[in-house]
Amino acid sequence: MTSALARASTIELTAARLGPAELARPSRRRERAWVRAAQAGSHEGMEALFRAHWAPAHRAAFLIVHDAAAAEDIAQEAFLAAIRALDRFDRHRPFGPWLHRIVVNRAIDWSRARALRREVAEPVESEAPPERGLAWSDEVVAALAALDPDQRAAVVLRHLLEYTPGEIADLLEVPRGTVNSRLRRALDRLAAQLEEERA
Amino acid sequence: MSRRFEHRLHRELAASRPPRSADAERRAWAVVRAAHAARSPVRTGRGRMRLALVAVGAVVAAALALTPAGAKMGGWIDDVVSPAPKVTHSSLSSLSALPAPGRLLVMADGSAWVVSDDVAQRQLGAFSDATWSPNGLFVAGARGHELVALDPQGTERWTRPAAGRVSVPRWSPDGYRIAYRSGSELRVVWGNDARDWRIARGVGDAPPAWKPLAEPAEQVLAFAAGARVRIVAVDGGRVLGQTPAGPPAREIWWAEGGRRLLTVTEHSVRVHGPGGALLRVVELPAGATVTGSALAPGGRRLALISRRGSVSRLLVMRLGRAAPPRSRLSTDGALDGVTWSIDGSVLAVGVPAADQWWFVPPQGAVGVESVKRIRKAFAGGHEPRRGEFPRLVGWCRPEPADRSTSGQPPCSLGSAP
Repeated sequence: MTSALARASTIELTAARLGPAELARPSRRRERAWVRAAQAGSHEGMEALFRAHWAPAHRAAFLIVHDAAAAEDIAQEAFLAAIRALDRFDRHRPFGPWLHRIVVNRAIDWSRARALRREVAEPVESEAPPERGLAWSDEVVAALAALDPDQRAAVVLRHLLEYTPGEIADLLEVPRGTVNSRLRRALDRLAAQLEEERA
Repeated sequence: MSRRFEHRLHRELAASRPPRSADAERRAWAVVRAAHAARSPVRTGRGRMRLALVAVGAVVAAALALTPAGAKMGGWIDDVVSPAPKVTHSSLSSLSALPAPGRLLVMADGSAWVVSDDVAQRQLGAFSDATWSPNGLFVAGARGHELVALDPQGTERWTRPAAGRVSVPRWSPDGYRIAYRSGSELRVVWGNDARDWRIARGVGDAPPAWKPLAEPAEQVLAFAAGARVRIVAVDGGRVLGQTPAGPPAREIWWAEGGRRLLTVTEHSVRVHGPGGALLRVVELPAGATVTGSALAPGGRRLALISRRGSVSRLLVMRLGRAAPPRSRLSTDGALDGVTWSIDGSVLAVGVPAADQWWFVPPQGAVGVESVKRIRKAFAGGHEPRRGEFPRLVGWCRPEPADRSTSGQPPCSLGSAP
């Protein structure tokens, strides 16, 4: 790692930490520099990528699985999977969608597995009971939990991570029409449920 | 669906955090950083040059290591290029077996615990320190002003009162004696509690080290006394040797079957002959300190935890070679406590910031097996305390009754607190 690159990474890492909104996506140019640095072994480059992408990945996982310990595991393992494949990563493509694809698919798998266990009447227990952050809107979280995992994933990708339906279709490897219908049904159910609770 | 509803949904999802997200981020970063540090960087033109420089550096370092005692090593080649690691995760409760055979002795939350081969945990009782007997048949524990001998099921066999606070018990290799500190006195008690005598006053903090039993002759103990380490035959009290004055020993190990005495100090590893003559000094890079060490079964490799700034490294030093220690992994924050599996195939190290134990092979590809939520696993059903992290103090063979000789030593000791 050249010292110039290390300095640049450090500066950008600071920027990533102090960014105005945690969920704001880093610029493509900056992200390419981080990926290049991380591929070359730079700790600063890797940390910049981690700090920029951890919060959205962790939130997305949590909103799909509704289990704090599982969400942490899923987000962490997604980063480890990304590190294993880092050398093969095409720097001209954005890092976020690559990571989010892993997170969301794993979160869906985890939720389906839990639902299957429920069907055979086994108690579902995580090591730590599901927790709520004080700042979450209880209404929205509860309404989201009532959706099936595919619908939750579509809502999270669209309304938290701000992907277009076309991008979501690519990430989940389903037709765009399927994404649109999942989103429509999910939002209808959310609206109805929130309306009902308010009434 | 109204745009207003969608805006509100977006705002609510984006504005909040999962519970304890800062802790989760800290734990995850410790794991991710270690995994990234252990992978192979992409080889670029500069990378090839760097490798060449590493190769040149290794030759220089080897030459420096061959220089006489006291020579300072020019800097450790610690940016070892390792293959990308395979990282697997589990919690203690989800493991079906430990990553290597044997039973673990763990100090956690003011208690001693045994974790058996099938990962069943047994709390032995409240102790501040504990150690295995040489064949893993018993455990010696320190409890206030008492030295306690108990079996691995937790049944106390005898209790020995002491004038001072008891610490660092160490069982002799023949199984008949236990060395321990009472206040600042070093004492030895017969393993059947029949006799107890003082070896020295004003000893240092380093746990005493019994010389491995090659012959059924006298039992030899090395212990820190001021700036030196003294070597005594405990039964007659005869002084067999001492090291030259040097920095205070943090830990003492008998290596290579008793042919070498190692003193691990804050900034160096000093290699001595069996009588204490200084043979070699391996110094850490400027600013780095040793925070733990453990000798491999067989006594030919020493694991070290070093810390410089916020970064900790797990290093492995081959004692018979002049090559510098190799870095196995590095991480932000502390590594706490290291011990070897009895077959020497795995190093276990605590990572308090991640609330994990990591099991790492000492050579070859770095594959980290992390075991999560360690504090909770040893909290005994209570809310785990943040200040104390469960420490691996020893790894012993699986079945105490099985005395079959597999060629493996029965137990290995972990690093001192």
